[in-house]
Amino acid sequence: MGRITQVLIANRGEIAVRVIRGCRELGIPTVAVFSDADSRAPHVLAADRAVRIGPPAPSASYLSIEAVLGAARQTGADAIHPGYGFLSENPAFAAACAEAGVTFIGPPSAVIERLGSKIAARAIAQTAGVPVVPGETPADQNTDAIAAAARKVGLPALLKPSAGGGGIGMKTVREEGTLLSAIEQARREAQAAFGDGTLYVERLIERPRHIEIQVLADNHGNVVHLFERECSIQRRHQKVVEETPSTAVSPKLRQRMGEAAVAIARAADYRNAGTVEFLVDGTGDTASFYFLEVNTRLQVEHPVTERVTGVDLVHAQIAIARGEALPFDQHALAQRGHAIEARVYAEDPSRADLPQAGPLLLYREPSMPGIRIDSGVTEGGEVSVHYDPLVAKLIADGPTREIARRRAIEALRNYPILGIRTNVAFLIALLEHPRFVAGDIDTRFLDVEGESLRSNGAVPDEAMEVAASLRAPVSAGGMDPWDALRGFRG
Amino acid sequence: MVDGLGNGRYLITGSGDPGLGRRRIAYAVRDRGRTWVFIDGRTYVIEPDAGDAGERTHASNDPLALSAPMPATVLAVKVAPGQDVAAGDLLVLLEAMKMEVPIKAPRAGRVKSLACREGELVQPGVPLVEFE
Repeated sequence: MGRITQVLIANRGEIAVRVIRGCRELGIPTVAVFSDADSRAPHVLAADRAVRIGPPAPSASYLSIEAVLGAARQTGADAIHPGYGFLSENPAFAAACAEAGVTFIGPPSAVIERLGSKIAARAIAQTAGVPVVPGETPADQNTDAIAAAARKVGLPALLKPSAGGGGIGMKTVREEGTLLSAIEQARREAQAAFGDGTLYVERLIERPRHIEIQVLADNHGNVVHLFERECSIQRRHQKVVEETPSTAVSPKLRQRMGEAAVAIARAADYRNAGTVEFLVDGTGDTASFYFLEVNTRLQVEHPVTERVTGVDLVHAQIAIARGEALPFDQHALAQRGHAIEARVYAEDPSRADLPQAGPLLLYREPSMPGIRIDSGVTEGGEVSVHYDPLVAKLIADGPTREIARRRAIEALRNYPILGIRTNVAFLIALLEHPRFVAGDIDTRFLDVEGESLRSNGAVPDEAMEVAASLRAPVSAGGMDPWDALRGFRG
Repeated sequence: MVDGLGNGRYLITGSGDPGLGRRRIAYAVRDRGRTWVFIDGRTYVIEPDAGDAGERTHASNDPLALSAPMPATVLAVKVAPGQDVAAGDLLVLLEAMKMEVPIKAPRAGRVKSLACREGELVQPGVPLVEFE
């Protein structure tokens, strides 16, 4: 707490670039860390200094507390921003930072630990008077005991890694017949992703919306919320499109959810930026909401909140970490206009969204009014097999939802990415889907409508013509300079 | 008509009187014989032997269906040589980019041989299981 003279960003990709940008705007020098797979990555080139922390495997680099703190020591960085994923919600990392005398830009270790435990987090919500979805972490974690717990909360049920987040390793079980194999698969994925196979079992609410509230809490007792983010467009519990405001949230519901989120943050003695996730059943004033969990980090989808509130969340995080009081109170905050984020993933929608790795032979970001792109890749770079397949986030805003939606579509139509398959066409189809246009969405939207958003794979004549013109023998002096460049790159 | 504009950009002009044909900008690049083309938000991958058929389809007899879609680690091998399997049976479980990727039988048949072991890192395009 106190002075911050240099920030080390313990992350990679788009979020590292975004945090570096926020630090530079505040005049704070930055240190990037990188694995051998990322030595020329955009986040490394964007920072003032850069330290190699290990081989490509995350466990030996971005997940290594020792390596990251070693880099901080080596460079004299006195604060660490963890981004999201990796070490961001690891209480041992926050504690190690405190021990090393480095300011962790996030909540204290004890708060991360308490909220990271689903049992403790639910207890906090209940203390704050906020309802929760029925569920438990069976004390006996053998397959039969977990199956019994699933039957007790009732099928359909959700199996979640107790140590997890971000939907990784989460499984829906609808039938008794698939229960045992789903438990085993969920446990394996939890073990692989978090080093802890403990599972949490929860009742599944059909057709719910996933809506979260952004909060900020300083060290002076001020807690505010920055309204909701609608995150119902997910597949396999990974978010694909987020927006704010939500079409389901009326002013009264917004106030109730905002107050609930603030009450939970107060009950948890929360500090810095956090997100309180809710399942919402119904829409408008009569909707019910249930506490899900608190994400004790900056969220992937934080830019939509920034676009409508005008608050820079990274700046706010740094101010809070420096011990400053929040420069605004709840009444000073308002939502202005609408923002939609579309996540561009390296994946193949025609092959069950399989993640793709490969070179970015051509990569051009659109630049147009109302468009913000947060990315961590460049043309000539690559999407590595070692890390998650998020290429970029395209955030569109406008005075109305319809204008933000149309801007997002127009920008995606002008966002060529060649060399790896991406979900760009899928995102356009999604944003054009009548149910999305009408705001009629829930967390099952992609399960129900996803197939209709996938291309049939037919290649139009004009694409064949373009391909033929590239294959044609090069006439003297008529060589496309792009092809010439390609030749050099080999 | 297609005109190169340089730097990977192409102008497509539809048929019609000059100036009246619909114009679109395409982006395209060739890589190892494959051509990637982007037009209006859609990306097409044209294989060298594709001819007019366009993008390869992933039919059920596609041997690539039995290979890793990307570099991946073999989590589990669920079948043995000589075993009869039904369409959709899990053959091999891979892990790539933090996700489990199941390789399932594209059709009923008998496993002739296996070309992977648990824990092994496998490369894309190389069949993991051979059918009789």
